[in-house]
Amino acid sequence: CIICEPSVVTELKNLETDYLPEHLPPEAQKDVMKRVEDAVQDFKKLPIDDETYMGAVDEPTLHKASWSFLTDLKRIMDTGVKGELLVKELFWMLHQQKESFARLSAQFLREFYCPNKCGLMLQTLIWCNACEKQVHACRKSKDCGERQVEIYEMEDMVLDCELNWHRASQGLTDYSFYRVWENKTESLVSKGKEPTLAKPMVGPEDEGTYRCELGTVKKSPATIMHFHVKVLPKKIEGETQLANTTAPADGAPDETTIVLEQPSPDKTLKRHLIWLLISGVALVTVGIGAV
Amino acid sequence: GNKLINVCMNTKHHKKEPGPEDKLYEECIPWKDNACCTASTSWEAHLDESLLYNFSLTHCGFLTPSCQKHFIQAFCFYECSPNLGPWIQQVDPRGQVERIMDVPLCWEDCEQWWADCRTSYTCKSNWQGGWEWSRGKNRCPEGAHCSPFPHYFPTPADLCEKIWSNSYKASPEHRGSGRCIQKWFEPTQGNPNVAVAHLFAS
Repeated sequence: CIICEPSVVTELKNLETDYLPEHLPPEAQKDVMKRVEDAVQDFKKLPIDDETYMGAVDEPTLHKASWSFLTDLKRIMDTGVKGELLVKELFWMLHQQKESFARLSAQFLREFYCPNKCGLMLQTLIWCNACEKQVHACRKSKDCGERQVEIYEMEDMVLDCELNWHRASQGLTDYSFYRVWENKTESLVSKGKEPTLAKPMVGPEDEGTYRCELGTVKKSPATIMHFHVKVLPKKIEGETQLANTTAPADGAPDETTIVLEQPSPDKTLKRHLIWLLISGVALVTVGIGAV
Repeated sequence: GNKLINVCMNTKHHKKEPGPEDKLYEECIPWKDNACCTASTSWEAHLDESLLYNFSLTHCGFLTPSCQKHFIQAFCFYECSPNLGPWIQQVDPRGQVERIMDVPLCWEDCEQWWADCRTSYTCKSNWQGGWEWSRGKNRCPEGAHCSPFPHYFPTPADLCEKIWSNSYKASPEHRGSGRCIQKWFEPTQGNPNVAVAHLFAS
């Protein structure tokens, strides 16, 4: 697969035109170069297995494998090794690099291939056979589940539709938030690059179901998530209560978010004041020290 | 009415009657006005390991997306099309009461399918049976090596006709001729297979 990396192709060219002529007898050069090219092509003939190699890798994996190969090749050429020893070192290095590629491919499948737990992620992969770079659709589920949100009246509500894999996905368009009414009709509340819907100072009228949809360049969305918002009666001063979380309504795998009681405005103000005080005092002491 | 027109196959996933389905998924959308498939079946048709047939398309690694798209379209066509009547055949009730035989796919459909799968791999030319089943998935049987599609399907006709043991036939007719079936069509234009089914039913 590393033959799909342009820098590998140029380095192999250097080996053939610059290095071999000066370090191998003329009659051996063509045969050795042919065997080197076959060995590099052979990287893509790893046995197919769900856990080790599936014929394609992502770009970081290809870069890592190519970089590792180039470093080893450069090390050999820097030693100026000649003749039989050169040939032995070359093929020993190629053998090791193929194993290193197999390890990197297995790591890719284990950790980086389609990391989304739900929805549709678009991942750019390179297919080793003909070095084709295409976007693979990671389809896990149609829906990314439900979120229960509880918020006190007059406080700020923030519905967050972002999942950790969104940043790594290709072809995403906009986050759209809809208000879902009792009769199942919906009205668009906001649409854009912002993954959150913020509503300051909520009231009872804000209680209900909201739906977030993250679009893609394809016909189907990357993520659909529902938020069931409950507005609790105005909090009596001093009463603190951790908002509880109820299990997601349907079985769809999702990350249920807990909305902690947000610090009320005057509390954050107090914090800022304290900080101001501390940094002021610190400055003064430093000042005295410096004098 | 004519039993060959506007009918659904009698199998595990097909609806009894064709009808509108407004929530069909992606490649199955063209059939939303009159479909034999449900929304969940249309979603299953898009998965690498589809539960529809408990069949894995990745038995020789990932198909390229441009190749896999043709298989998804073929699954959508098989599950959703109400125009298969003239080619539905009774099969001994081996779980599936009916199957399709020799549906004449337009020349372009086979050509494009074959061209887009040239760099993907498989290990068999007949996907209908003969797999080795282990760990819940179909795997290449002993001695069947993974090779690029052209090794098992030298020509587009081989791909269309052999892969699902003659469910399809490679027709020499061209798209738009009204004398061959398209396994997919643009959702905006009408379903061109309706007229073709009428032609072959008469």
